[in-house]
Amino acid sequence: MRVVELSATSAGAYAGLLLAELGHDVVRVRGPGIGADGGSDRAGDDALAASRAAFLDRGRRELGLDVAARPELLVQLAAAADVVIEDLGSGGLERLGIGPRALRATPLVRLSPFGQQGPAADWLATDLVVQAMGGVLHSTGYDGEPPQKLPGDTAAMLTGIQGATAALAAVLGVEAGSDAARTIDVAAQHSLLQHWSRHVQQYAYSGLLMRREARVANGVTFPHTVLAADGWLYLLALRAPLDAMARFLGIGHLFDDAMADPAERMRRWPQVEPHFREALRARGRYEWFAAAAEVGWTFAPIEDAQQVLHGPQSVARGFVGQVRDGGAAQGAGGGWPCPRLPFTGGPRPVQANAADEPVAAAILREWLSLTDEAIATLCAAGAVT
Amino acid sequence: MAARHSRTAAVAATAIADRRGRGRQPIAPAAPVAFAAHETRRRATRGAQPRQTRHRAATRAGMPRYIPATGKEASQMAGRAYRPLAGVRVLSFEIAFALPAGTRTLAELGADVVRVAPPARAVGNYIGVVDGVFQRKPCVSIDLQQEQGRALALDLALAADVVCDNFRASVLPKFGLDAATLRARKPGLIVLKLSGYGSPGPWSDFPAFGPSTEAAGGMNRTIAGEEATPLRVGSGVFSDQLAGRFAALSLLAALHQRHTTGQGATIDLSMTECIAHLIGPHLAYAARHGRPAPAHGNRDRRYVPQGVYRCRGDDQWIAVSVQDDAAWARLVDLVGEPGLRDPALATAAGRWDTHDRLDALLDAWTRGFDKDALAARLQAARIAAGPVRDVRDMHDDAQLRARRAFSLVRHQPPVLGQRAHPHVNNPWVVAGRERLALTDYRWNGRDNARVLKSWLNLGDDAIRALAASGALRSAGRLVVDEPPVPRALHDPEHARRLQLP
Repeated sequence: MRVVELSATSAGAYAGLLLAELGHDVVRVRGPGIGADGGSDRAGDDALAASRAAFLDRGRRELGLDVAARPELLVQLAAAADVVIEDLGSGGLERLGIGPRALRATPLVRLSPFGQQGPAADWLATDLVVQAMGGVLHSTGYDGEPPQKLPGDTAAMLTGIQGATAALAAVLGVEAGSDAARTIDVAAQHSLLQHWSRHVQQYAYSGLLMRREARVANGVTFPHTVLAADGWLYLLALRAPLDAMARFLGIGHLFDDAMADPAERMRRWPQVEPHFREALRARGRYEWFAAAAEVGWTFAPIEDAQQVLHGPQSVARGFVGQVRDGGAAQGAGGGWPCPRLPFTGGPRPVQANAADEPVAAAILREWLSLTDEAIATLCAAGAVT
Repeated sequence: MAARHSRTAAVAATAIADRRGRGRQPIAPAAPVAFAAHETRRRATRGAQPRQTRHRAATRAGMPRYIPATGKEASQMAGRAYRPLAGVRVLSFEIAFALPAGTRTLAELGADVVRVAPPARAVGNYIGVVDGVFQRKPCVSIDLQQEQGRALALDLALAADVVCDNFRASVLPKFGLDAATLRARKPGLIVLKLSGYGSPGPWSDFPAFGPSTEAAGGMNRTIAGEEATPLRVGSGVFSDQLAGRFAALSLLAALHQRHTTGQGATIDLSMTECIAHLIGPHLAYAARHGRPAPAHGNRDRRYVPQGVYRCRGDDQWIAVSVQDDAAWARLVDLVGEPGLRDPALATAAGRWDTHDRLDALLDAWTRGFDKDALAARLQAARIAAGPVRDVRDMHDDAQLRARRAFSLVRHQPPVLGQRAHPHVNNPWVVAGRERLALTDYRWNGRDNARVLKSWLNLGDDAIRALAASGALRSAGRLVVDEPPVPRALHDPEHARRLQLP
């Protein structure tokens, strides 16, 4: 499957990366108006921005193209592709000078914060603003304090997953003859709404309002985030009686019959809490995790990024591969550990960063069957790089 | 390649003619690009105004609140629905949320998805009905403990294009329904297993809920940073929905591959790895720098200041991102606070160093405003801002209404006293097409006969015999027991507010 990616944000970039890691031939077109002129929301000179680029800009070839000067080249590339993905915002493609009928032969997947149409289609947005208007922001954080953003470009990347899925659906529909879509418009706000739908639906059915949790547990329930001997542990034992949980943790003797009363638990919690925390610090987080699993409870280690990369389950599943990207490399082998796709089932390569070698000629030769002379002319004119 | 090239050339010619020829006007520079900072700058220098008035008008205009479930409009819509997966059969042994969310997406794209449920006399499933992830799926109920039941499940699996499950790793192999067995019988079959931690590995058979996989996948530490107590996502279904998104993606990829090569696939999906991949940039930072990335909370070095500030009302907030220095200058003019006119704040670097003070000043300014009115005012000044939606005003959002983001799902019989409820639908708008209507939760065994006739060509006698043997069951009714809702968290006006029928 051939894909043209026109991305200025993490949404289109993640969609392109996912399709590339699935083995498809993705050409990322860059140039004025397409994320290469300071117009990318992924710009920035801090180390996290560099890591964002290192993760997202892998696995596909890039073609520099001055669309304003040679719009027909973009149209030709699109026509040679099976699908086009863009995230240039409401009307962004039209501003590049591409006529509305130009891409009709090729399905177009459009990713944007709010969609191509509608009263807020033109609103300016960042990931925080989309998380806010998609609602998931409101659920995270502590009661009485500002809601907390999910990290990085979460909203854009969720939209990227939708974009990759829509691209595959569009191509399959055409190739299988089941249905053909010209344009699929995916909105980040609408995508985010799915990710806290339980709260939205519970309000619709039961009028249940949502408050963020209190910062300090009071003994009615146990704290769910605690320190084990070697790191953080998440305690989730839905439907498990508190006295059973207390016995499991080795503090069952502190839970007599009176503690079944929530008011009494709240009253005694200041005395019980030190014992609770001490009991948890007696074992490592993986030890607790395995012991809880044996009785059917869903504890979990709360891992940081390093621990995710090197944890026993990641190693056993081969979740992490090595990416080579020259000067930024850290490992002894000249690469850095990078997560693979989160599902197995086919080849699971970790795509390298885009090579610096010139690829424009190869793309134009393979996709458009241009001659070497024609390619040389375009390069000499600065239309492609 | 020749065919590709000729199609390319023809379309290119059309496009250029479209753009330049036949006396057409050049395409007008249209709307500003959200997400892209360069557009903020461009619009600001042109002095263009956003379509704030249109936003308000749409709110007033009585735009249909929900996609209808029945009636003339619904039937017209069904005829124009987008169905790229028409003809694809999916058999799903599914519970809880994650896999059902993924297979519902396939159903919304036209696939024939059948849910297999365990035998039960009556089904009490408030959260299953409310979550909506079982919609558009007929349900059969099979007793896998019985030999006839296992044979029936195997027949259904071999009649499917896709078989998936989200039980623990050890469950389906006990019934001879594991991927190896199924694909030995039908190599073109696509089999997906979704679980908390994936297989193989030491945690493969550990039970998991979505929030525990968020913890194990690195999300909680990444939100809070190394120094703070980890913070969990408050949604409750964030990881479940994410895994559902990746399940749909992996199955679409496998279906496309099968169409191209004829080969099936065996997919093993880990919810924890879905979370880890989503925070891939943070994992890349850790890998490249040998330590986790610093956490900035609501702040972002690209947009300074950026934060969530209090507005008028209980737990009401606005999100504001200043995308560049020009936007900052406009914000300073709007706020009118002399302390913000300090030349040291003219650059993002200067503002980053005093972020705490800026947050305090902005919070003092925003708290007197209604969040929607203030967001519209800031957007009018070309400053990225948006109201923090909560469960009450989500359905009122004019943009979501314009996209018809909620479909009305009819109940028969009524559920919790209402004949229908709105549900979030697939976030794609396909040009010229409608979304398939969402149909209600089907309880265990409700569609036994219909599915067995359609998929296996079984006659009434055979179906009756299976039912008599106990291999095929049917729950008599659906019981939706509402859990107690604390008075302090209950809005008794919700049905009126949402205009439920």
